[in-house]
Amino acid sequence: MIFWKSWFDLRGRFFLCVALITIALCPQSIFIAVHEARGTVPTFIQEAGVTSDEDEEASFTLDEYVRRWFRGSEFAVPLLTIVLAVGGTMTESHTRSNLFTLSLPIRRRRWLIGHWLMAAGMSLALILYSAFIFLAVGWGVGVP
Amino acid sequence: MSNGVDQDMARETVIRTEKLTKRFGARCAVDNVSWQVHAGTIHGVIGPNGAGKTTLQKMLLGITHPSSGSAVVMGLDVHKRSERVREHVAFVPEEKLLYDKMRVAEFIKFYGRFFPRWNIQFVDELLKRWSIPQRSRIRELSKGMRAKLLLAVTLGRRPRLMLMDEPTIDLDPTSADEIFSVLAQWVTEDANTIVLSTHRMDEVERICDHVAIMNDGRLVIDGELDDIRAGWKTSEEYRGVGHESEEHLPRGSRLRTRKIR
Repeated sequence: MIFWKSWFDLRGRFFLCVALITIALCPQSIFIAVHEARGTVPTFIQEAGVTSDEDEEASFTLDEYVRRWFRGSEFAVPLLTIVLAVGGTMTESHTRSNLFTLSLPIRRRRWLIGHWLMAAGMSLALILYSAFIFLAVGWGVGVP
Repeated sequence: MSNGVDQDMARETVIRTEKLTKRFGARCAVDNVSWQVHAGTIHGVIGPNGAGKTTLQKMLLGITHPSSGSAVVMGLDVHKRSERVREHVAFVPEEKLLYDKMRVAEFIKFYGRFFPRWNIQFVDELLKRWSIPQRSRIRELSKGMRAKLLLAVTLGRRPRLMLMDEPTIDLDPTSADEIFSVLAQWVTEDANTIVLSTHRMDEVERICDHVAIMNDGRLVIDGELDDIRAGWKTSEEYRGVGHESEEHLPRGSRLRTRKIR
């Protein structure tokens, strides 16, 4: 029940993140995949200095982009967890239902642990979802 | 000892506080309160806003820790076993907003899972009697319906003791009557206990058989209602609490458990 309530509290933010990831990654993935098919490197990647020499530029693929994307996930998971978890039981005071929640036979600490675990789980799910987006888009545009 | 609750204590004294004190900085919200509540009674805790009524209830539930003193509820030390205390003690807060996004049916399912003695049939009956639609979201319910929903689920968990904070605030007189009737019946049936905090003397008059008057965090009067009423006209403390004058008290209209007709 602790997790169910945490899911209930956080699901709005979770689905918002799913929508944002979909909106952000789909066009990027298609863009890079198309460049890969043409054997070129997108301008924004060149400008970002990601590919500095010709060899790396030539080998820059969607696969490479995905690898670079997930290289930052050790920071992304905690960051996403914080974004998702801040609020919920701790800020139920704005709905004024916190006193009711705390009157249930569950310790405040357990509510908070459940809440943060759920947020961490959601963060991992979002990372996996972004991997799924890359795979699906890559498959869709014919990049293995 | 049964289910962690001292049965003898539950029959005799369900709440016992010793010099219970809560300070918020320099302000003393509850000041040295030593108090006892016996099973099968309805205690009214009356006092003006800021008298310490809600803080006292929060300490009895273990939501707020006292600065000093102790509280034993249902034979359990609240400080050490607050989780167990909250299994047996229901709380009806002043704000009955609950989880606005949940549907009534979801809320009932969620709430019931916390309590092994949960009686879903009883809850369903009350909801039908009060015409509360289970498919509606809680935010769609009127204030009266929310209060009734909260009372229904609270009774459905079959607590031994109920702490209620301004239970009829925002309710129309008919809804308040219905709620008081159900509460009075509940106390009579199974020697249950209610501690009802309010700032309305008429509510205390109607349903309570004991009254405690709080002012500035102190318990200034505690005793049987009839005894206290006899001394009200000369009571210095009474002049400082409540918003109703004695002239407005509905005589003979009590729903008190021992006097239900």
